[in-house]
Amino acid sequence: MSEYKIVTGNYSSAYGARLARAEVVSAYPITPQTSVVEKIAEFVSDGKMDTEYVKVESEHSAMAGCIAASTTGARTYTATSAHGLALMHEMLMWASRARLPVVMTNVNRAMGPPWSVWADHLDTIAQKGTGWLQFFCENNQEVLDSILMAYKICEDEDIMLPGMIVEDAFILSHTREPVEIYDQEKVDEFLPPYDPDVKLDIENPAGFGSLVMPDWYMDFAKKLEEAMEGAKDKIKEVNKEFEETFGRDPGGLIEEYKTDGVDVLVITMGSISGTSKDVIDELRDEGHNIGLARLRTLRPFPKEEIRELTKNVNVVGILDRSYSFGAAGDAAREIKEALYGHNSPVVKNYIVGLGGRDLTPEILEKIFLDTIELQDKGLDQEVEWVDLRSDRKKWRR
Amino acid sequence: MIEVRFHGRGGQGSVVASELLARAAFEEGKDVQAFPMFGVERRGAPVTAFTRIDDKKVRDHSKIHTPDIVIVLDTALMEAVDVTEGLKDDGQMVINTGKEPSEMKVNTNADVYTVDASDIAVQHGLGTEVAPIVNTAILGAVSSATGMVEEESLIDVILEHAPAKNKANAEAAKQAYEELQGPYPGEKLESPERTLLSEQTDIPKSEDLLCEDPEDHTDLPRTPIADCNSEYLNKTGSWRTVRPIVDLDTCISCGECWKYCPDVAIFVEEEGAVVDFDFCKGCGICAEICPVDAIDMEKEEKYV
Ligand code: SF4
Ligand code: SF4
Repeated sequence: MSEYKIVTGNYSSAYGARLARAEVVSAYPITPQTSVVEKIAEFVSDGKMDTEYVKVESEHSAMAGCIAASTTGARTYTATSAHGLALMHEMLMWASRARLPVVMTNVNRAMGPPWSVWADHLDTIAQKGTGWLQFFCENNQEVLDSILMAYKICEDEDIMLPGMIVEDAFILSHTREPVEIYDQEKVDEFLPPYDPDVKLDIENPAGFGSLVMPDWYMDFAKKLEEAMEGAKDKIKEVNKEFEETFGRDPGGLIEEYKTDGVDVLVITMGSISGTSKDVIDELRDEGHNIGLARLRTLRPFPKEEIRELTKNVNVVGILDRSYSFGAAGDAAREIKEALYGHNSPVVKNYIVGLGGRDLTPEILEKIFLDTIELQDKGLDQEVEWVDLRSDRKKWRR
Repeated sequence: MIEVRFHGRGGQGSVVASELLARAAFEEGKDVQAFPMFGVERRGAPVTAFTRIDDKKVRDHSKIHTPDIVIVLDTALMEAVDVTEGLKDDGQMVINTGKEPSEMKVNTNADVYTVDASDIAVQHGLGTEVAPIVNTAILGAVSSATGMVEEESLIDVILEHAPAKNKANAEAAKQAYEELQGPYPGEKLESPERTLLSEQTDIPKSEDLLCEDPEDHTDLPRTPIADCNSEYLNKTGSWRTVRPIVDLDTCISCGECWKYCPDVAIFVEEEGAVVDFDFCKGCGICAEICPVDAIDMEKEEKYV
């Protein structure tokens, strides 16, 4: 029987790994991820999860452990955050290039210094080119749902890529919400055991990760990109299947919220999306023709969907909880690139909430009203940093 | 939507209280959210926790700035934290104290209630007189004061989900439900009688350390560099709920307490071990380690 538990985003991750029957968990603790792996350790020691739990000495080794286990055909899981993810960087690329469907939770946290343990997307976004699928979650239920979905997508023989589930530090990781913990049998039906066609097998020795000459390397890279492209349809397909099985739509590639026929569109990622939806409802009640799209997967990047969504809108406001120094927010840059040669709405990028700065409904309302005003006043600046200390009067009542 | 803020200290169970309240409301068919202040938790340090309850889906993931209800688990905190901050005028405040609501002098227009949750907790064997665990008792009082959750659902949730001593916790909640005092209509004062500890001293706030004027921070350094000895500004003595009292006649000046104190807050002087109460956080390690049992941990309230 499925049951509702009131759990943190981190426990939701742990339940996700348990329901998915991850066979090997190789992990190293870091704030604010620690309670994910603590909970899994508890499940394992209580006999509630049949898993080889490998303690390692660093995140680099945690991912190396997942890679080795996944190569043997085991379903693997790990979790990390910020500096831990950065330390994994080399191994992240190994996992994707070896085409191993490792699934991991990354708790989005700011990079230091200044030292910070709070929410910020830069850690994840800095890894967007590593060949991992990236799912940004809005709430704790979606964390669990995305883990189950990710295994199914990533382990598909046409995809065979690793996937990262991202939850915002503290805002999800340490906040309790009701989460439906599904019936194990139902999950087993949705997600059969992992059984890859090629695996490391001592009965049939083979070499893995071998050298290729310049004549070949590029073709392997193209194959990886084809899998990434193919993941778009796969995500939509699995999303549908998920909805049919569990009665819940995790949001596919991009979630549309009241976007039909709108003049103004705002695009958000992660946990600010829920707060933003409340604000969108209020603004619509006041007569503003505004809607919201939530970018759920940064990789693969849903360019076609974005073009479709922006076909008839006048203005697009894009909220980035990170910044690519020397340029702009990454979601904004990629969305603009997708629009080039297709649609040309006015586009403004808002940099928000770095290092866990709170995004209240009040600040979000001011941002969205600013976007609405662009229709009349035209673009005032391409990128605006919101609620800086020197600028609080503009954004707060 | 109802937004609730709990004020307690690390170890008193404020976070568990915020969760139990959320569970009780969830059992009644509401959607809920419970979260602690997103910081670094330390035993004894002020802790804030929050609960959101709504008939429709709770999607808001921002912090709570203007609560409808404030719950104070430890009155000593009221010296250090402005517990009334942002509390709505038509809101409610429930305080754990043996005093009448009219004696509390809190600077709010909200209705004020009190209950002696510490006494009730001790009667039911929850914690000790020095460190009572008051979170379930206070929830009983909150249910009775606000009607936010029914007593019955609260009791059910405590019986099922309290981390330990479920029956005693449920009994404590029931007793507090009956013994609630109030409401007393609060009145916001032009110049509050109570000044916060932080306002009484000239300890600079951490943000003031970064630049001269936080509103015009043109002189913000490239990256934060802390002054040497800046740790002296963090008076960890404010976290203390119990304090070490050294019996100098028993103390043999062996220095073991000094070796083990995590805050270097106890020193061996000529007369024996002496505690620096600006920094002693009341962890009790010195009392544990003392080979001749010269140190007793006593309730802080006796000394303030
Ligand atoms: S209780 Fe003892 S060991 Fe703990 S901080 Fe105070 S002096 Fe140090
Ligand atoms: S450990 Fe005990 S006996 Fe030794 S100096 Fe400290 S108080 Fe005195």
